[in-house]
Amino acid sequence: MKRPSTDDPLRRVGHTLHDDVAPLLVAAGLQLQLLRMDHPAAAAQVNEVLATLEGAMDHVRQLSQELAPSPFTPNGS
Amino acid sequence: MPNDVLLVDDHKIMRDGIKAILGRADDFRVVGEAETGTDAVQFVKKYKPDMVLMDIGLPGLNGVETTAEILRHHPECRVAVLSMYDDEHSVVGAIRSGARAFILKRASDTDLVDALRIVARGGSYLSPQVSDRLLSRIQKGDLESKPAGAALEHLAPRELQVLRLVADGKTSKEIATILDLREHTIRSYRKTMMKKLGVNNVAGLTQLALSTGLTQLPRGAAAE
Repeated sequence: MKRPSTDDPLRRVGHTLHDDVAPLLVAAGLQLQLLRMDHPAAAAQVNEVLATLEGAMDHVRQLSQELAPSPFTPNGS
Repeated sequence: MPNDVLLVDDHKIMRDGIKAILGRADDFRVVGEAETGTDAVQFVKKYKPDMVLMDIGLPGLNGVETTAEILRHHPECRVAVLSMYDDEHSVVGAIRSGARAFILKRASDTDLVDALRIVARGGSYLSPQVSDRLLSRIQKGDLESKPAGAALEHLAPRELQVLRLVADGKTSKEIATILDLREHTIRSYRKTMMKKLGVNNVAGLTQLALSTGLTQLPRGAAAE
């Protein structure tokens, strides 16, 4: 989602986390889930990687929400 | 017979991943992809898919507005919203727009296919993290019931769309293109809104949209 440019570096970081980093993490997770479907024998290892990825995703989600709140949040900034 | 699904997300990498996951399920068939809300509305008007999987954070017409617009043209369509955020305003906004599911974007086990199956059967779905948070807020009695201020209560959904786009700095011509309406219709909406809201100019509309949280300015910027 392209957002209005902002001079606030923290807000810009928040938008970058939300718009660029998070989708990559989610997409990587979807690819790992496909890998698990194709290779059930590797499910345990894939699950470990997914859990690590989800931990990173939780941090990104939280930081992104703190720096650049959801556009649906009233007066979120 | 599989359910025809339109994928709406401005990130191709997300659409590709979701398409691959749904490709493993016999009961769904991805029949189209759209990057913007405007393109999604056009697709739905033309092809009338059974379901739409909608990213909430679209540029221009956002996912909530696009959902309302899609259901205006194709009320039988079942829309499931995907969101990075799980705040209650996003959830309430999506459900109010007519979405049947609110699915949190996660990196690990996605509940996507389960959610879509429930929605395809005519049910509704909230991701567990989202429903847990909502239950907790309801139990504490502090669930905010209105996403926007009381001043906007008397505006129709279409007027809210126009107001947000005006406040985002879009011209009547640009709004007309985004909403697939005539420019004079947009000007008419603006006049009606000003009358309803008791403001005299675009700056007044923008300030009201900001004060009610309908839109935001980048931090440090000032309203007109």
